Amino acid sequence: MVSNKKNLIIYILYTAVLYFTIYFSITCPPILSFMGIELYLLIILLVIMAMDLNPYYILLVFMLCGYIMDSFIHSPMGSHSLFFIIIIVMIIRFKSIIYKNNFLLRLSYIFFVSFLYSIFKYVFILNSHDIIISIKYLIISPVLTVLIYLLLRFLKVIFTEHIYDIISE
Amino acid sequence: MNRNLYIITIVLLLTTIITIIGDKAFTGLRHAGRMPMIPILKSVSFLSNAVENKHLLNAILNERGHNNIALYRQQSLENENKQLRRILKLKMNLAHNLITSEILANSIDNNGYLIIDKGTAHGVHKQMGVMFLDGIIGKIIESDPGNSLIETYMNINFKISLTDKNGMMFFIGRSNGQGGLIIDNAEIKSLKINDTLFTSGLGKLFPASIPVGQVKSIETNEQNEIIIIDMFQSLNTDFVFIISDLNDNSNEMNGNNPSTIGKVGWYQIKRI
Repeated sequence: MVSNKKNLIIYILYTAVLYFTIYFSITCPPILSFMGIELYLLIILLVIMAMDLNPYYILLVFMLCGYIMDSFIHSPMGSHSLFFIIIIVMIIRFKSIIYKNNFLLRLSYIFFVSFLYSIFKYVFILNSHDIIISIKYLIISPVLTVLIYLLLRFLKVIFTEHIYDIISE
Repeated sequence: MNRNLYIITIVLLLTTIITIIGDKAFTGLRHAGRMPMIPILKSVSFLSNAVENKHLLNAILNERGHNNIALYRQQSLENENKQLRRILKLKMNLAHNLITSEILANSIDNNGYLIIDKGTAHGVHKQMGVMFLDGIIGKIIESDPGNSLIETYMNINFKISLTDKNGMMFFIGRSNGQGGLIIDNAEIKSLKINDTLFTSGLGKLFPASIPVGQVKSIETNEQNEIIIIDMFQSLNTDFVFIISDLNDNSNEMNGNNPSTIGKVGWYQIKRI
């Protein structure tokens, strides 16, 4: 009973975080970018949720999330959904390897997914062929995303016990 | 991955591919996709407007505060200017030397005394009249080199010689201890309510014709009338004027004049 309640709270929290992350991904506020370079918070959340939560839920939620993103950034409807579904399938497929191996592999996986997202966004959707933009967004954005993931992991290590204690009560 | 997951994944992939292909046809879907984000977009817009309005309100209040301060300064300067003009006019009309003094302490609520920052070193002596812009305040009863003590009209012992506006009738007004004067045993019918009374100039405490107060009420006793006078000059002031050159006998009153031999009642016996 306690476990179900805890799971429900975790799902609600993740959904709420996803909701706000979509908002930040749409509006791109300066506080969540580094010198105009976007941080892929949504990708970090996608990787974390795909590893921790139920795959059916993740597939549905991120398909809807992709539609919301497409409706706001005027990309073809379903393109983000397609990308997210492919990434989630890859994560589910290689979940055991990512979990079993060390933390560095997880970081490289996030970098790889972010890199793919950069290519998807700036080459396929925005049709950008500028070399400077390519360097700026295709390389630096994934690096920054990995760094933010490291920061979040660090914060999680600090606060996890506290949060679990609160949920358990 | 189990079979169900495969099926669902394929269904979802097909759905997304269909929407990508028919992008132009699904304009309604694009609008629908925006719907979930409308609450947060409106909330953030509302909050940012509220913060902006708060800043604007603060700016307006600050500006208003500055304007109020400027207005207050202007008003205080106007009041100061008016007061200085009145002082100048008083000094020109009075034709007596006035010593300006600041009030250091007061006990007007209890027994009606004021302490001022001028004393014998500044030419202030006993039995000098003290006034301000609107009328009389009292008289000096004690004086040392640095300070003096004023017995104001609040003090029950205070008495003053008064006259009416024509200077035909003379009265002795005494303090009623409540910020007014009483003329008792006055067998006169000439004064009416709201008549102004002036200093008579007798006794050399004050020069003649300084407005003192106004008749507030006339009460009839068994034999006499009691007239109650409201004073013009409030004691709620920071400065006073001491009339310095009216009483030439100030030194004599202090007992410093060697020509005075002695006193018989009101009269002084002088060496000729």
